[in-house]
Amino acid sequence: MLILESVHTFYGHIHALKGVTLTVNEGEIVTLIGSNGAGKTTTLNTISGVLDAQAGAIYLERSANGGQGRAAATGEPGIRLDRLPAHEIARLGVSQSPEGRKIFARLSVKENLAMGAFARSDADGIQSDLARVLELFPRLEERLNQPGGTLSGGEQQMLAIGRSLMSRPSILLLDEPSMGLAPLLVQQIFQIIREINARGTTILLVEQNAQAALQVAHRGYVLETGRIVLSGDAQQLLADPQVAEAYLGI
Amino acid sequence: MPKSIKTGLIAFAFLSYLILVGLPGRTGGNALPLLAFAAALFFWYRLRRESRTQSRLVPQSGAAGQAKPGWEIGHGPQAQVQTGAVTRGGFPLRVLTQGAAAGATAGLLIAIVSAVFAEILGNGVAIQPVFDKIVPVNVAALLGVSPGAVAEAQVPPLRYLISALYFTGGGILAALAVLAGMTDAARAAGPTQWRSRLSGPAFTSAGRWLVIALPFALLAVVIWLGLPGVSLFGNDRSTVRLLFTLIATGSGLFALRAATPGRERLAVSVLIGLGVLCMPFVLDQFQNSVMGIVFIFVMMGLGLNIVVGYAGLLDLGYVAFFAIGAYTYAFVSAPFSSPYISGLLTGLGVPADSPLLGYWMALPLAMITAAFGGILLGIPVLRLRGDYLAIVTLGFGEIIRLFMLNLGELTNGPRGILEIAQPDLFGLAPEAVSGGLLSSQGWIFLLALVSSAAIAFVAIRLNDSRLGRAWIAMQEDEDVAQATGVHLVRTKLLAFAIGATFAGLAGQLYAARQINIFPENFSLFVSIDALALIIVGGIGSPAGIVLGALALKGLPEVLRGVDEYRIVAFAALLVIMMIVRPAGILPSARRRFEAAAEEAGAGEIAPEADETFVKKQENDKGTGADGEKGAMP
Repeated sequence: MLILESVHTFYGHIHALKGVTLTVNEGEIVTLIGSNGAGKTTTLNTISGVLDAQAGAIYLERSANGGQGRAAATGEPGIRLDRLPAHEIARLGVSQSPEGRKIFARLSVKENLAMGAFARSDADGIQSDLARVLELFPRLEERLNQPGGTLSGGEQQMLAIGRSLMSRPSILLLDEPSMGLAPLLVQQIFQIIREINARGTTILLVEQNAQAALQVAHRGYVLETGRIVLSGDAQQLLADPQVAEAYLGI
Repeated sequence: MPKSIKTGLIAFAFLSYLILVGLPGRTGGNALPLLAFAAALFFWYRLRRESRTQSRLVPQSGAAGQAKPGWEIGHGPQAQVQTGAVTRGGFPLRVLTQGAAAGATAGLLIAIVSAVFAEILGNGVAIQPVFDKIVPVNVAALLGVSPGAVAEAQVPPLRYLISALYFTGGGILAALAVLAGMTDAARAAGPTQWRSRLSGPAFTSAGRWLVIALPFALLAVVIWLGLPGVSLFGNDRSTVRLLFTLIATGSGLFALRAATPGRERLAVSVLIGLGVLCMPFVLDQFQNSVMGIVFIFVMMGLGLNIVVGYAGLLDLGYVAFFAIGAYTYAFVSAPFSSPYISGLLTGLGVPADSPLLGYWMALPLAMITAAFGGILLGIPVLRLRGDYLAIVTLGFGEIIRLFMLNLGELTNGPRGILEIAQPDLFGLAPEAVSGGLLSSQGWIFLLALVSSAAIAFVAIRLNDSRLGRAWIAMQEDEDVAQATGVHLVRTKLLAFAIGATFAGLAGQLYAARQINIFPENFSLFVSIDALALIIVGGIGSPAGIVLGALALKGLPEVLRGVDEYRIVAFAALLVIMMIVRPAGILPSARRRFEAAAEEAGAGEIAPEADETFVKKQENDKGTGADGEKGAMP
């Protein structure tokens, strides 16, 4: 449902993505792992349109039940995201939960969630999604009228994920959801990621915590200095000695 | 006790300095309100220090249960202080022995030494040249005696002492009233923490009613001062009356806050609205003209607040839109003053010797041109932030002023546009309609009031709207806002356009008030004043903006007697303000949180809290059983 074809992204003169090609199929959790500076966040920011891709193409397949494992090279497989501004990409159902949470500290929890549904106008749908998010994160319900900045780190992460879900995304881009969280909470966050996926949301997950990410994901890509160096089934990658040495710290 | 004497000595030195620089003599009739204000500041500061030390001394056990369990934002030690309450029994005694005692010591010292000084100088001993300002008139004024009374009737030295004692006593009483009106928790928290309390009552029920009644009492004083034959010990009645008007208006805002939400607040706001609306009818030309300019600046402040406070775009060229609004109205109201327009009209065969459009017809025109100006400025600066944005907008403001100055054909250059028409009331002069009750300046004041109310309503509604949330999201993080679907270009331009529209409205009213406008009316300092008033009042809070305008545009008029010291005193006041209340006098709820978080250094949150939370959730699985003080660090 999301296809990247040799995407190149620059920060000024720095060549950050050197031809990233990857595919995310409908209903999958795909994880993108790699060390610091490999280009994981850059990839997500390029997809969501916050950064511009200088070369390559990003497609979003429209069909709700798009073909599983559809080949990347068959003509124009969907909407070209790399030609759209960020706010329009968001309206197409690509929702990013940014690294470091980045919730709106001055807006209340409720307003933060409302910001997630900014591009939507179906009041009933927003209401039911709000109920769904609060069911997923009961903690947020207790804090609805509190400014987002007063939440604890874990609550902020939940709010960031909840905010992304409020746009009723067809694909959710999660950037380092476990960053800076206590181990117990990390477990819980990954549990929730699995639950969100089980309810039918496709997820592209970027993680430092490769072990945990590969455990929840169906497939994985390994990114190294702007290039995909390895890809495959998540279980396969977990077992791969190269991956184990470089990213799992075993 | 030594500490109290130290405070007294400092106060004495300060007030002596005021004598030395000859301030009372210069202020003349304004000495009394000025010094009352200084004394109030002093006592307030003293009490603040006391309540702070008290709150540190409160033991954690004991009366903690009395504190209201509202949601409080304090972190760490602060939060603990807020839950601890001062035991009621010790309260009045402690104040007398600490806070007020210091004040009394200070007052007595001042009184005795001043009396000696006055006695010596009154007998003709001249200490030239350094102390040449210590003349009986100055000393007397310092103690609240009218200089006029001294010059004419030769008040005996004992009189100084007595009035000094009155002065001291008044300060103590005021301090006691303030303390008595506060709840135990608020008293324990101290004034510095009021701003960090997002909810929870700060006043006891009796104290609350006192606050609510205060503006009406002050309004009564204002009306009383306007009655014929009322004299204020020979003081300048008009200025004192202005001061009371300013305080009455400001206290009205606090009364609104003190009223509990719901029916009570509605009733109080209706009463206060009626009280404020009757002001233009009872004030004289001078006070009305000052209040008019104050509320014109409220209109500007509310508009600028949308750009700076909501959307976070620092705009230093805001005066440009004010000027555009003013000149738009000027052109259609006095076309004969502009060589180009009068020539154009004559060419078309339209007589150019009378207004083309009345005030109300020109209203949408001024709004549209100003909004257009806002978009014009907005487009080139879309990608700029912070300092860079400030510099570019600053330039824009100057460009517009220079246009007005140099486009002589259109704007008549530095000679200005003259004879701009007054706003009419259904085509009639307002003086005629009201039967002489409403002066021309009163009419401007009334219009400014009504427009401010309308703009405030729009601003408050905007703040709670989808657009308002988008502004704040954009201010916090443009990338994330964009990723949630906010159209940055449109949202920014809307902020500029709406802010500019309000400035255009203010400018039009300003032009009508001034009758003649010149390019120098629209200097950079108008922008700076508008920005300063929203910062002093509290960015993002409409009530704070009204207070800021009262303090920044109103108070200087009261202080006018101090001539060259005015700016210095005013600057000192601003510096003190920013130290004592960095988020403004009445910060918005959102900013209050920020200030509190900064104070507590709560940028990052301890991970233990998260662990407790996980455990808690595993235990009671979201039954919501954990209380208010749950996992919050």
